[in-house]
Amino acid sequence: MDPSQLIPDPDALQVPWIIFQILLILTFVCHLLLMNLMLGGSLLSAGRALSGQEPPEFKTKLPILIALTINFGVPPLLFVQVLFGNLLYTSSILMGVFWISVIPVLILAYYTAYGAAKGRPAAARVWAVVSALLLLAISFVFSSNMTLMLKPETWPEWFGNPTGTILVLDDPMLYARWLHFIIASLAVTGLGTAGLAGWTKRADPDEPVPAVRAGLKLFAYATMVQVLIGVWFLLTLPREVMMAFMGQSMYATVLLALGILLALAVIFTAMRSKLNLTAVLLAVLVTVMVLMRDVVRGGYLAQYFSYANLPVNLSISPLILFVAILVAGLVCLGWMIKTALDPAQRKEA
Amino acid sequence: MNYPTWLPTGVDGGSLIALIAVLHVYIAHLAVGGGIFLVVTEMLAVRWNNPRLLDYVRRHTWFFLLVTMVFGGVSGVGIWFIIALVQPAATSKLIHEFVFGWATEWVFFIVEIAALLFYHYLFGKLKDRPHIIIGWIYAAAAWASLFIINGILSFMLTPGRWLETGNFWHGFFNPGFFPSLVFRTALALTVAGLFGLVTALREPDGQFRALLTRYCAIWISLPFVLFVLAGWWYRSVIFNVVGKDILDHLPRVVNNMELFLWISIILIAGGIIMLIRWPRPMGALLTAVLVVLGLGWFGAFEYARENARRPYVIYGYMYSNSVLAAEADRLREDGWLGEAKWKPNAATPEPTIAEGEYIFAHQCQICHTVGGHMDILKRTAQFDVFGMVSQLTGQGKVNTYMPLFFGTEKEKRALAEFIVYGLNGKEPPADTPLEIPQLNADVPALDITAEEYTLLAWNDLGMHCMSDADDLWLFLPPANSLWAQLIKRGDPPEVITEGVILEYAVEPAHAHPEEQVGFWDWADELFGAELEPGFGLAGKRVTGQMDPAENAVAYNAELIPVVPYTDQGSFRPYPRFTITARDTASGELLAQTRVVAPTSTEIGCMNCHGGGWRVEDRAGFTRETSLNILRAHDRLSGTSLVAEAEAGQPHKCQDCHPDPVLGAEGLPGLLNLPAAIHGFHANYLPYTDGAACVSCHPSRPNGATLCLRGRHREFADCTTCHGSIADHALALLKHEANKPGAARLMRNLEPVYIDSVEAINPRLPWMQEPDCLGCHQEYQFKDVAAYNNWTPGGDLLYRNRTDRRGIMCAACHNSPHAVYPAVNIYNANLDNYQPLTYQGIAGTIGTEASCYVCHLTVPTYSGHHLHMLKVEDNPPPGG
Repeated sequence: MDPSQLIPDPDALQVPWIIFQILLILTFVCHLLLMNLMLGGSLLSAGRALSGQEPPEFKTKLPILIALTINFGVPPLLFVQVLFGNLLYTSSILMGVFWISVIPVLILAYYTAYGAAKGRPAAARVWAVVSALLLLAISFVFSSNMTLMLKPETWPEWFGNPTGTILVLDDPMLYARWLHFIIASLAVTGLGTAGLAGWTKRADPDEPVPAVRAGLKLFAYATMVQVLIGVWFLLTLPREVMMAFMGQSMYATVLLALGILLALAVIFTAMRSKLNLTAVLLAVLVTVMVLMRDVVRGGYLAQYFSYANLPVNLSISPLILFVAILVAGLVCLGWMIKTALDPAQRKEA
Repeated sequence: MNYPTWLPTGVDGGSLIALIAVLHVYIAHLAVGGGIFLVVTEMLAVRWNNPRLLDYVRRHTWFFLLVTMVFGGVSGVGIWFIIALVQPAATSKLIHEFVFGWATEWVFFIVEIAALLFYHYLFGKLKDRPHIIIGWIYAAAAWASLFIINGILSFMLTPGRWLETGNFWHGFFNPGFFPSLVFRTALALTVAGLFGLVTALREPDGQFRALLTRYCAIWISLPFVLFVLAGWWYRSVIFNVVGKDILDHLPRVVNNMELFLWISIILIAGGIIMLIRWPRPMGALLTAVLVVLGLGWFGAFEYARENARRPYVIYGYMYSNSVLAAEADRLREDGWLGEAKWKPNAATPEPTIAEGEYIFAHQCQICHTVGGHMDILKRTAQFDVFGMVSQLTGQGKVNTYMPLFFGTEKEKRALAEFIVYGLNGKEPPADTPLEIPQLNADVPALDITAEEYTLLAWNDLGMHCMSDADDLWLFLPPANSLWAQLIKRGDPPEVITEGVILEYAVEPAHAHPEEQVGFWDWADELFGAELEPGFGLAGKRVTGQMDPAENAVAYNAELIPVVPYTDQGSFRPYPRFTITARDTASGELLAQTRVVAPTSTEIGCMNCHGGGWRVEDRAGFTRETSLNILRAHDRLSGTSLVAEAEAGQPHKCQDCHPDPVLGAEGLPGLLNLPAAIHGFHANYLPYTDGAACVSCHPSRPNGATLCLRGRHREFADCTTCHGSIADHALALLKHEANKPGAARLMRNLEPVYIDSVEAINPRLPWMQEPDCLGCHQEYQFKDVAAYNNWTPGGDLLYRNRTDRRGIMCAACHNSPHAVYPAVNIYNANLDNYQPLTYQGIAGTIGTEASCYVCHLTVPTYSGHHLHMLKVEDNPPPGG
């Protein structure tokens, strides 16, 4: 069966695809960083709980991180549906049982994170481990779905199994990809703990507190591992996709080179305990990675689909509404943050 | 068809949507109303300088955060997940059409989350004024997110002008937008009060707890004013769009609306009860009951709203099974398999059961499961392939809560075969012909020229149909009417109407109808008549004396309760009667003849309603068939026929539906029975020729009655005179056009024999029938033109008409549908007894110059009617 005949017809866009592409990449970077903090933080907490250590200082922040990760997951999920909905809905249906189970599992992970943050120490340890495992499971389901949507050649399996339990477990790319996210989560969490220590309790910017050093070290080691995983990930890609990064596409090759350079740079700055510089470089690095991810996706789908060909029914006014509300929302957020940080607004102790 | 269908084991997508959505919507309304509740209560606490109340707000914020942010937030994403799995095409449309609406909602969502986190974590730390402002920011953002999602949700039910313009704003600010917004705001405030109780109960101090409880009770009760007004507004807007039809024919919507109203009343009452100071355990119990009821409240409301949208997922735009309304006609013409993406192979010219399976997966399984919720097995168990095809033909036409079938007739059949053979595991029926016993129809030797009298007798109808499930329902009782005319041979012959007694007697095998059917046990309930067993509705038994007819030229015995069963219980639809004429004074036998009284219970209801035949695998109503019919009527028309029958009060159709055949007036505004029954089923029957008629009427070519047995059968089927089932139904319905039910039955019927509905002449059933003179103009066959040429009234019906001499048409030509020469499957000559005895020819009495049957000499002119001698007409002397 020709898999391309299975690809559903997409709906028309309201504005040109590039706007959605920009929105997707921007919001996905935010989501990714928050997700990394959430997942990596949970894994660290679980690790400490299992090895009998004290829970990390940031344990109370994890539920908030979950809330923010979910919240910042909404726009990329929205925009990916706009650009790739016909593929994503299909792959979601093929693995529907796993996909929908994300919701109850996430609710459990969320409540157990509160348990870990606020429960009695003994119970909190258990909750920390459970929460981390649940989040890990969710991450695997996400990696699986984002992989399945790229592989229409596996879709005819539906004819033998419409129950929604199809996974592409035989593709090593899936594991490389998943591991890539997990290691990134540990790295970013390292940076996050460094930031938590460095930015909120700084005494002397030239003399970093030990927590900052420790966090940046974790970041640096994890990133070193990440470089290896990245190479593996690259090798698991189909030849024509991989070759794009090997000179066949100037854009892709430059991204890869930039990615490797930035990775080496952040390892270097982190080892030197340069918190701010590492954070800035990381933001750029993650953006480069997200752009590379887009190249990979395009490469996989090249024979089937390109969002650049989606029909457009131009309708600008809703976009204007969104931008206006977004600005108002940001002003509102800014005011709240300013108020929260302003000692003059505090009650007398 | 564009997307694969998700068919999880053990659960169905629709139930999962309902589960996630109802839970989410409940909590989401709490998130909206609760924001206002929190900040208003905080302001009161500050104004009254009441630290305990402030502490209550602080504690409630934590509970509120855990419930709304965790469960509410994640389940909201869950709705996105589940609708994309179950309704991907509609989800894609909503996402693409309202992408910046969703994006805007996300902005409100993040402001909401940030504000709630600040509100919670800075409680007691921030000064009152900025804290209250943050509280209001939360409340405003939460309400604004309701504002946005309300636009998208209400769009699905009332898309309004968007259907024409495709404009974002027309879709968003659709007709349902504002009433729904106000309505949901009121719901949200009530829910805020409900959940406020939960934290209030944890207050240890009894007096203060009572105060808090009363405070929450006010929140529960006060919004009801808004709720009632907005609810009424919302309801009228929905009726404008989907029509009140939905209430009459979709009991599920009605039931849920009623449930919703009842819970509303209970919640108000609960609010009032909470004003009383209860002991803590009692208060906890009451609160738990109210919170759970609140969930049921939302469930009922959302369920009714979702069902009101049926058969669409986006009203007027996309059907529940993802087919676009604009594509529907094309799919029916060009076929579904050619268009579908998720099908096994390229469409074959003859779709197979395997392809039927994929049609099922895509067109049916969005809503129906196999063995679970909305179980297809339960709903189709009664069907064979014909019944299933009929169901697929009719669905979405009369009752619009299901979509039409989208595909060709062949694809429809493939789907039907998959459901019947593949899912229900039925076997194709064995094609063994019925054994029809051959009856003796020997004719005695009789020289009519040696007789003084000729006795002609007939049944007024060619077939009397009746039902035999009297304990459950009845559409017609056992009631054949025999007629006779006694003619004294001579020149001129004389019709004798005085000084004679005419008697009738059924053949011995049919002597005891009261032992064969339950009619006499239920005659009181059905007709209000206390009948002695064996006595008919006009007082006649199967043997007795005829009465002078009202027309003064004939004798008749009306409503003889003969049944199509012998005393041994065999199905025999043509009981024979002996008619005798005697001199009143002397008792001398003047003449004697035989006639059949055709009556049948081979009514094909079971072809679609299941249950099989009751008698000898060929006739009669089983209990199951009858109950299925009543259940369908109860479901579709909101009656309670099953319950009433089971409580000992069966009904006849004519209790409600007027019907001239019984002189029943029925209930005002209801369609007469023939219009209702033909109009409804015409929408379902998948044929345009006589096959449609004999699906129900006892004239199947391979059946046990074959009532169309007169000479017309040689070239005609039912439709030749009555029109196709659609033509027939339309003529009956046009007569009832001013009644509310007619338009709904007519809107999908297309005439076959005639150009347009406008050209169809309305007719009153039983009183206006195809006029013989339409084809036999001036008693001479011209052209087939019976349909739409109705007799003006009952007095001009064939069965009531006489010739110029007072001889009734049927006396010489026999009953309608059995016009001489008739061929009866129980013996070719069973109906031809009289012509064969009198003239030796199985034809019209007097045919081929057999005038001697009544005349002593052969007349030279067409004395009875024009052209009877088939020569240049000579008018009779004296006109």
